[in-house]
This record gives sequence, C-alpha cells and structure tokens, in this order.
Amino acid sequence: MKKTMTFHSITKNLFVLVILLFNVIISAQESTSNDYTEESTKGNFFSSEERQNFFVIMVGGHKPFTSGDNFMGKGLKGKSGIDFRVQMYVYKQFFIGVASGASYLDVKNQELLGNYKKTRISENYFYLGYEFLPAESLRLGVNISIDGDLRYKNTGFSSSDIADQYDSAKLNRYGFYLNYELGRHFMLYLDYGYNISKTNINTPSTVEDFFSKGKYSTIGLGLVFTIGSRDLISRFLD
Amino acid sequence: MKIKKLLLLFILTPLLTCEVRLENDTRIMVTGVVLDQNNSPIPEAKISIATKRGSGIGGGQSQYILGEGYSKSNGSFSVISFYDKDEDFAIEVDAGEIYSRYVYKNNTEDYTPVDLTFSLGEITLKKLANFNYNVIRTSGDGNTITFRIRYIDPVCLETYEGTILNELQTYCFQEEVINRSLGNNLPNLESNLRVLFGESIEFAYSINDEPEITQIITIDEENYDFSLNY
Repeated sequence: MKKTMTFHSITKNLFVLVILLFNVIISAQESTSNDYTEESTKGNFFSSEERQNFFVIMVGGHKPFTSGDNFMGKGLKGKSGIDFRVQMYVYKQFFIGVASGASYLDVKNQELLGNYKKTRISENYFYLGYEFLPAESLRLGVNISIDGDLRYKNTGFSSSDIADQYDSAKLNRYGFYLNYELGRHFMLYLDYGYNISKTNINTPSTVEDFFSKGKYSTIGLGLVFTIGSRDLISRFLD
Repeated sequence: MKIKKLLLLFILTPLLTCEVRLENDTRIMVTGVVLDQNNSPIPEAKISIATKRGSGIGGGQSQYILGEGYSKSNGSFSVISFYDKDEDFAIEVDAGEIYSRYVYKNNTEDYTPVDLTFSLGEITLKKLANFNYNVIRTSGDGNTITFRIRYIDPVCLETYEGTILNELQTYCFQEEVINRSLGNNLPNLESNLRVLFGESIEFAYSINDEPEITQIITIDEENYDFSLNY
C-alpha cells in the first residue's frame, strides 16, 4: 500500500511538474515575444518550419514502476529497461512511430505468481502522437499506442533444467515526453509511459481478474537523433 | 572421424539434457485445508507443487518445484503455480518433522483440472513420535530372539488418474511389519521408527523358539523408549 502511494505521488508530482513547466514556458514566451503577432506565437507552439523533422530515433533507458491490485502490482518489482523508438512526422508535428524495448522486473511474491525470480517484458508497439513546441529548445510530445504486444519471459526457476516460460499480452500505452534540444539534430529526452497489459494467461476463475490485467509505468531518459527537416506530406505538397 | 564424433554428440545431447517445459500462458491453483488428527488447523504447512523428470542416461529422478506456498492460521491454503504436463505431477503438504506428510500424485500428460484448480479438500497430517527400541542379549552366547513390530506407516500418498483415485497405487497410513532375528551373529539391536503419536504398536517376540509373547505399546510420548533384554 505504501509503495502504491509512493508511486502515485511520483506520477502526480511528475504531471504537476510538466504542467507547471509548460505554463511557465508559455507565459515566458508570451511576455518576451511582444514583437510577434498572436498568430505567429500559436504557429510556433504547434509547429515550426525551422524546427521540423522527418524522422527521429530515440534510444534510452527507463525504470518500470508496477502498480495496482494485479499480478504486476502485487507480485513484481521494476528494475530497469531499455527503449528504442523511431518516429516519422507525417504532417507538421503529427507523427507515427514504432517502438521496441524491454523491461526487467524481479518477482517479489512467489506465492502469488509461481516459483520463479525474474521477468523480462519485451515491448513492441506502433504509436501515434503530436509534438508541441513550447519553447525554443523544448519539445513536448504526447503519444498513444495503436497496436502493441508484450511477451513476458519468466526465468529463475528452482532448477536450471526448467526452460524459460512465456506469457503474452496486448499493450495499451499512453505517454508523453519532453525533449531538450542540444543541437539541430541531437536532443535529450525525459519520458513517462502508462502501460496497461491485457494478458492471455489462462487462470482459475477466482484469480482471473488478478492475472488478466497488469499495470506499470515507466520513467525514461535517453538521446534523440533527428533526420530530415520536412514532414512526409509537405514533401509531396510543396 | 571428427564428423562422426560431432554427429554422436549431436544425437546424445538431447538424451543427456532433460529440460522441463512449462505450459505457456497458464497458471493453476491448489487449494485445501491442513488439519491435525484432532481437526485443529495447522498453520505454516508448506505446499509444494512439483514435477519429476529422469536426469538423463543412467541418472535418477530429479524434482522440480513449480509453485510454493504456506497454509494460513486457519489451515487453509491457496497457491498459484505454473503447470507441467507430466506423468509425475505432484503436490506435497509438509508441516515439518513433527507431522506426517501428504503427497498427491497425478498423471497430467492428458489431464487438466476443471477451472485449472486442484482442490485437495481437507488434508489430515498426523502428529509423529519416535519409537526408539533396544533389544539386548543379557543371557549369554547361544540364545536367540525373533521379534515382529507391527505399526502404522506415517506416509500418505494418494495417486489419482484424472479425478479418480487409483487405490492400487495409493498408500495412506498403511500397516507395516518389521521382522528381525538376533543371535550369535548380531546379538543386540538399537534402532528407531517414526510412528504416529497416540497410536498402538504391536511388539511380538519369541526367545529360543518358545511360544510368542505379544506386547501392545501405546505411543504417548514424542520420544518413546522401549527396551527388551533376552
């Protein structure tokens, strides 16, 4: 219970921080950009020809945090993770992407999950989203997965003669990120993802609810490399 | 020659390694209540869900634990486990050395329980005691004794075929008999047995082929010492 509260407070604080940061940046932009028209300010926030990208490649790591009254929240504890994402800007700041990553977790309650010690979740999903340009060096993106699969590789059994066991699931993911531009084609990112895992695990009916859904969040950090300076549709229109 | 060796290694490798493959996307549950002979709940009894496999050519059998849990203060348990389709699928209930042990066995190669749940119901573990017996020759060379101990073996192994109990392969608190003879080759014997606390043991003996004498011993101590001089 204590851990759930801590997790919720981290999530809540992170949201508040992003919103505050967002407001501060917008206010600062409005107050210091008196020379700009209102139209041009809006234009800079939603899109900018000078800052347009075609592809971005994001590489980083994350820390998973499990939560809720489900097999992940009660039985697993997040350790670390890796992320690799490629996103393409279809029109202005609207993008689609493909992501592949992994989260590493330890089993904290074997009586609830079975006799094993570790899980590696392979995460593969397509996503779409929009990227805002709140300040000169910042980008704020929101995204949602459109088709995602998870594969749990369960290891660390009582004997090395027991082969790895696998569980599968569908992924629904909601996320946002903040990019800080270090150069025209190089950025740092901080991201947050809320993941809902809808498993295909066959279980007794009494524990079906417990195993059917798992929830975990990720807080990640990494590098962004950009390619190109025009979105896909503009390449054909102009 | 090298190719032959490599080929042999390729053929033998699968025979030497007996990997246990658990069912993917599957969990089972084992439920029940652990009681003692007075119908009082036994807390902290260990429930182990296991499967057995031969450990390769010339090797014995190894046990692989798939799930583990403990009974609660009211004796009830509900343990989640992985599942293995195997002819030696077993569930063991063990409350430590002071109680008898219960083993449930089933061939799960072609069997999956209803709602993926093994309901073991009420499991009675009986309290155990040590029966320490000494038979000592004090009468000198040439004298012999034959004796017989009849007692209840404190093991309960139930073998099922699906949901049906296989009585031929079930062995639960059955009567056991030990027959021994002592003489010039081995005049004295000091040994012990794990027996059920509160139960009676029949100790029958005959000295120098004289008529048999039978003693009924009630085990009312955790360490029951019994001596017989002949």
